[in-house]
Amino acid sequence: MCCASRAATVLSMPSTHLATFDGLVKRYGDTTAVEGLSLSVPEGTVCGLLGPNGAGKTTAIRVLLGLATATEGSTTLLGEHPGSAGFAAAVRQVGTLIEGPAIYARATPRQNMQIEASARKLRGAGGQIDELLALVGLAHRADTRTGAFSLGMKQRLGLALALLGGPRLVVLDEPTNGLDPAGIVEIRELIKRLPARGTSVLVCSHLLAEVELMCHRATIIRRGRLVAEGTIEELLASYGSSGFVTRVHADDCDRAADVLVRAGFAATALGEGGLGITGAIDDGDQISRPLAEAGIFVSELRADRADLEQVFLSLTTDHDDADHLDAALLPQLETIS
Amino acid sequence: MTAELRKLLALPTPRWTLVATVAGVVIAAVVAALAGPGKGPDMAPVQIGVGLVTSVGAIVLGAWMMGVEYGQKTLRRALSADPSRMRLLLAKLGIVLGTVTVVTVVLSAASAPVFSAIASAHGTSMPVADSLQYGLAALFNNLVYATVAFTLALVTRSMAGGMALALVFAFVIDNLLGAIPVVGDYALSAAIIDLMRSISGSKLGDASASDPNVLRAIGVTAVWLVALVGVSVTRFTRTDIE
Repeated sequence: MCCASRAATVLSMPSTHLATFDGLVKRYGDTTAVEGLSLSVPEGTVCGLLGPNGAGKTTAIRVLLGLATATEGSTTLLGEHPGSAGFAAAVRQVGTLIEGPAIYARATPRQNMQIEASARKLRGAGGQIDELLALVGLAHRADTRTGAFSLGMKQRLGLALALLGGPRLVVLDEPTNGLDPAGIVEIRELIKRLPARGTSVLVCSHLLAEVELMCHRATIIRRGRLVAEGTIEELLASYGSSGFVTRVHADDCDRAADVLVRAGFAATALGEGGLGITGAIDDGDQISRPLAEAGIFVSELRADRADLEQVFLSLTTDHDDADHLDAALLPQLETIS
Repeated sequence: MTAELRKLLALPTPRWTLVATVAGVVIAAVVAALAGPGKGPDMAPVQIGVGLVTSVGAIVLGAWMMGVEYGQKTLRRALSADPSRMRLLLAKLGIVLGTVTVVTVVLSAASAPVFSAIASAHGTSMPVADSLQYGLAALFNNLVYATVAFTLALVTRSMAGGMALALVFAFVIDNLLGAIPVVGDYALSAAIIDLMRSISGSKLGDASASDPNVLRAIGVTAVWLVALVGVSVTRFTRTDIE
């Protein structure tokens, strides 16, 4: 069941915002990349910015950082508009990793960090450079050229560059791209700890499970428009509960379904003894008790909670497009089979 | 500016450009020692060893300084550290012009007595003061073409494209323009040669050359530079960064 509305859902909002988008519109000729986007990044949080390819995430970030100009609307970074007197100082307090790590391939990680420190006018950053390279696991490669690095290692260096100078905000575009599973966990845990170090995070990612695990809040945009914003819990709740899943002995499945229907729930067979149960369920006891009283013992009982992926797909999938895609692909698939 | 200096020192292209430039001067000296320096007033070894070689180095460095950001896709990062595009351009151009000045002056100063000694050994005269004066003219030429290369890298938004276009412009297009009657007087190369003759006090190998029209040469050079810098800087500061 999908309860999430296609209309923008703006949920509870903390008070201090490090980045704001106010009715941002960005057009390239006849193409509208961002259309009336309004959102904020609260201080002390890890915020996810989600959207399908071409949704306008990177364009919005480029406008935020002053790399592109807004067609309409405005943005602020640490309270400063692009072009204002204080904007340069604001940008220096923001670390970025946009569309992959931007590094000088013929320089070493340490040299890349030194260049960045100079550009940010950070004096005496030597100790911090060593600390950050160790933090992202590159201390042992600090003085080798980055040209031969894997994408994952470049991502780590990109993250270290973004964190140089202890920024108040870091904007990370696909920060776990190219990392191995252990690296993903490591970087995710690092990002989660950043607010405690005084650094808020705006993270764009397609790895929705990662976003769900690391972010406090998320904003979902589609075709340049905001479609939902709130805490992860609020977004999941807006999708609605899918009920519970229980598993009993396969031979008892039909009888268990009868018992639960008599108890006032709807039960759907999922195969191999599984039952999907929906209805007014506050507690798992409401399911396990009637089954136990009927002599049917439950081997598994869990809430079938919506995840961020379901919420994301429900808000961003264009069913018309999907139908067209199916119609186009089906004959090819049939030919292949 | 410190960040740009760090890039200059950390990345290999400037280092290899310097190596190639020094090697060019050394080879010119060796050839002059073996084959003779030619007619003293023409200063052919100095023109090739200092003038031509350092001008190629200046063009490569000028195009590289801006083009490296496009080649390495690091322009976003540079502007994310400091969003002032004019400040970035001024820092980069300042480093280019400073480096070109230092390298040209040092190579001119170091090579002048060497070429003078070689000329003496071959029984001709090539005064150190004349070589140094030519070095000053070469410095002017190098500063102008380094700036031209810098602007062309901005226009092409490419390191390789900027270098190729700048080299073709300096050694082919500009010289061909200079060969066109009337129009040629307003070619950058014609203006630069006039100014170099004026600075060096030499005909630079063309005994039939008329006296340089310095005022016109200054005006033509200024117009070329203003046009190239104006177009490239306006485009860079007013368009979105990809």
